[in-house]
Amino acid sequence: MEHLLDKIAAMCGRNSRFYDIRYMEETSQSVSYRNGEFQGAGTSGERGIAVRVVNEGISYGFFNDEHRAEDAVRRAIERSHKHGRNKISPGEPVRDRWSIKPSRSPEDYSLDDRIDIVRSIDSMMNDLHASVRLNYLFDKQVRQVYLNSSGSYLEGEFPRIGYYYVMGFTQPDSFEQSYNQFGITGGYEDFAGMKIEEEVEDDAHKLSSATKSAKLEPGRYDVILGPDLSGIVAHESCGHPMEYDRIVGREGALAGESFLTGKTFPYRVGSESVSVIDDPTLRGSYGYYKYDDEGVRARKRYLYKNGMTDEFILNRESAAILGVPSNAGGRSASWNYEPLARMSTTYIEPGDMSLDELIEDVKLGVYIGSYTEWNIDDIRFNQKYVGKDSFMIRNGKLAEQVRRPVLETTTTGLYSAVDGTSKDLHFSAGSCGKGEPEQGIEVWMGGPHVRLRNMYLS
Amino acid sequence: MEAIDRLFEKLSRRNFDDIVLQQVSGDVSQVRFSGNMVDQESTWVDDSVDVFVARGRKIIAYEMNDLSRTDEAVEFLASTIDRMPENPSYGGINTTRVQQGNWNSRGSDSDLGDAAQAMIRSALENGAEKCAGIIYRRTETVSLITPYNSLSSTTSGHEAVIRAFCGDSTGQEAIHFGPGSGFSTRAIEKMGVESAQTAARKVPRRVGDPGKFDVILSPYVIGSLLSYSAQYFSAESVMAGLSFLENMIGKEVASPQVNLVDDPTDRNGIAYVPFDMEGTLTRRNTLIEKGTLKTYVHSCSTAKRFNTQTTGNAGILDPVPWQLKLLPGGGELDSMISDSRDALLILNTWYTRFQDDRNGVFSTVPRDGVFHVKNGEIVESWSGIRISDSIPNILKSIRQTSADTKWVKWWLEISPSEMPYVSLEDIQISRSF
Repeated sequence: MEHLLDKIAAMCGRNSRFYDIRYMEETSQSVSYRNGEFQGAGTSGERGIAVRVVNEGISYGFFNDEHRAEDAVRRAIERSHKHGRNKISPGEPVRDRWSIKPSRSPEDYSLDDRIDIVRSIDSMMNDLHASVRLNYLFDKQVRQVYLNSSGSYLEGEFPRIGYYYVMGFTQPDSFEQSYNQFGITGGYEDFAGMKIEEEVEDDAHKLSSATKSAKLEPGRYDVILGPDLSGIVAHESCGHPMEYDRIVGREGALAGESFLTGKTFPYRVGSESVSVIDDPTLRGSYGYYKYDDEGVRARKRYLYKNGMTDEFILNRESAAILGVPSNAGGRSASWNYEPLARMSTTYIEPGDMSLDELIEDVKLGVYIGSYTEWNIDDIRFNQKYVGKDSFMIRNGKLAEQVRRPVLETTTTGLYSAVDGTSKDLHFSAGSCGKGEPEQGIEVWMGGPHVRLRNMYLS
Repeated sequence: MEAIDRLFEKLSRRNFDDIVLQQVSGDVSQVRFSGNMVDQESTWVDDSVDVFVARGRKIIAYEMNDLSRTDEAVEFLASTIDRMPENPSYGGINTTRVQQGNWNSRGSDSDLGDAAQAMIRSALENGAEKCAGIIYRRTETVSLITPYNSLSSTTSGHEAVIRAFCGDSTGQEAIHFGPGSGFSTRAIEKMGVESAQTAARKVPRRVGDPGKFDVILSPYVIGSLLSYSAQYFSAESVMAGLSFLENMIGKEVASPQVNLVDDPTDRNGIAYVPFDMEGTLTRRNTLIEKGTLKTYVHSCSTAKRFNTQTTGNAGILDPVPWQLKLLPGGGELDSMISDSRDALLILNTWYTRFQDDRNGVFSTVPRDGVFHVKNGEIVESWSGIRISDSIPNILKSIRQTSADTKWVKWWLEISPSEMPYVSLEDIQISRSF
């Protein structure tokens, strides 16, 4: 492989203003159960190379066949001479090797052990009388090499493990379902830390009782969001609109632009009580990395700080448009995708209150612990969350469960209504979609409990 | 002998009952642009091989793109299969021999950069202030080997999307061109014109109102809703308990105006597929006829479970529709608008999500042209609304389908399909507060 990378570098070096080369190798495994039936196991072994060449324009070549490599690189070089956008932040050269070496890596973990995990959780759901049970475990080991014309050379290796389930409860005239995803960057010694069984048990009880709960009377309420919900809020209405490639319109025909496009910065988005962070360096997190997929050293970033926009998420191309160095937001889902400005672990910064303190100051409100359906418009402003695990708050105390309350609001409306955040912090895993071809990447989303005043719920 | 043939031979010596090898070789080019300027051009040249083996009801899959590692894969599969639990749903693959057809059709070698410039220019000349988009050219060779069949196809096609911006207003067109249809500068210039005309429409703009409305949905909107609903037609989803179509075969699931087919045999679409992953020839299947559900889509395994025949839609365990078509009716968009007293014309949507799969309860966020129609005239442009309803109600509320159709495909939101305009009654609209 070194020989091929050297050959490609020599071809690009003679014919480019900037180039970078990314080699990635992934082995992955998956196991699934559906309603007590083993569905199957899958194994995947992939490797490939991405070459980016910058001249009068920017061109990518993606290939996995050594025999076709030279032709693919030649085509990339040729197309890079066509006129187009061509700014790139080359950065300083970095040379390093990094790895996450677990004691029980996916490569050493047996298929039988994987099957036992999934079978056991499926069986637990059955004992809890779930009528719909889908369980899926997957893991991967990633090795990558990055080099560029600035002199950077990086080697990295890490494992990731993910799990999701769908669970449903049926009554004669009602049905409630839950989708829950978990993920870590690490080995199977850390798997228990995801506490999937505890989550399943809690989820099952609340779903089951929700099938017998009443709908909420529409109106204005104080609302306390649980960490799952504050996490998706941080991801959707802070992380995405702060991706600078969206702000400048590069995703315009796909996921859209940003409500921040054309604004003067810093821009006020909410109350001083709210700050949102994106941090790829959080050890064990699903979106952990030491260097991004463009060879830039990762660091923590405040996206919103005390209610104002702070730092954008940047990859090398969007950083160059802004005229600053990349802050290591360049991520790609695999060898055959371009690195875009992406989130890693995005969370609302915890405050100094307890959950009890948040609740006791609410006369009439709704606690929404988690969510089912959600969506947001293409400028990341107009959003909807349908509650799961939701309870009335009456006179400072949690009261009866309510079924699927709907919060449909705007980004500035939501963040401006925040008047308190708890000191606890919890993360959940997700797969974030962006780009064309679409690339789902692993992220954590999180936050504390967040109190909103006077919100309309239906 | 090709590498895939050698791999098949090696696997054949390991006493598997079923073997499926599917090799996909792709050559894909893309140009993407934004702010009226090309962002980048990309090419993908790649090979991948999907291996599926079964011994009795024990199954395992292996996917690789490095054919120098086939020995490793064979050893892994042979040493692992007996440790698998049985899959009670597995019912084998197609054992009937089928005839190799003439499935090779390569498209034109168009210059995507020139095409992008033509599309940008046509949008700007028709009122757009800026535009963004993507054009793809795909050529794919699929080779499938099972103990019963050896089949191969090479097909090509194009996809194009353009979104025009005019102030806060946008318009979008997203079309696919299969091996039997003509990708031409004229066709994509028309997309530029239509997207710009939507974005530049001069009507007052405001945040919309909640309530129940009659709606006219473009091919993109109904295409998106049916793409997200495609999973419900899969026998696998029905078996999982996550389809509102469970126990509905032969029953009314839509209004009589609804005729929905899955047609992978139509070369005009980019999802033209001559055979499925079990070596069954694909065919045009009627899913809904005059509002009545006729069939789910099946693989051999799900068909056995439902005591029926495969519909040629494998994925081995998880069959899915290939290329949906909502058949045209006699309506016209202009008359749908002029006949409306108080309705919404919705031209695109995204981010459709479900809160309840058994009942198909969802919401979706309209974009790229949401217009309020009063007394037959478009009077306002609306923002900030959602369709918050259920797929069963959408299907039952369709009153008319247009004679004109579009071959729509867009990103994650619309699978390759052919769709008309549709008019519906009493659809729930919500908005943010």
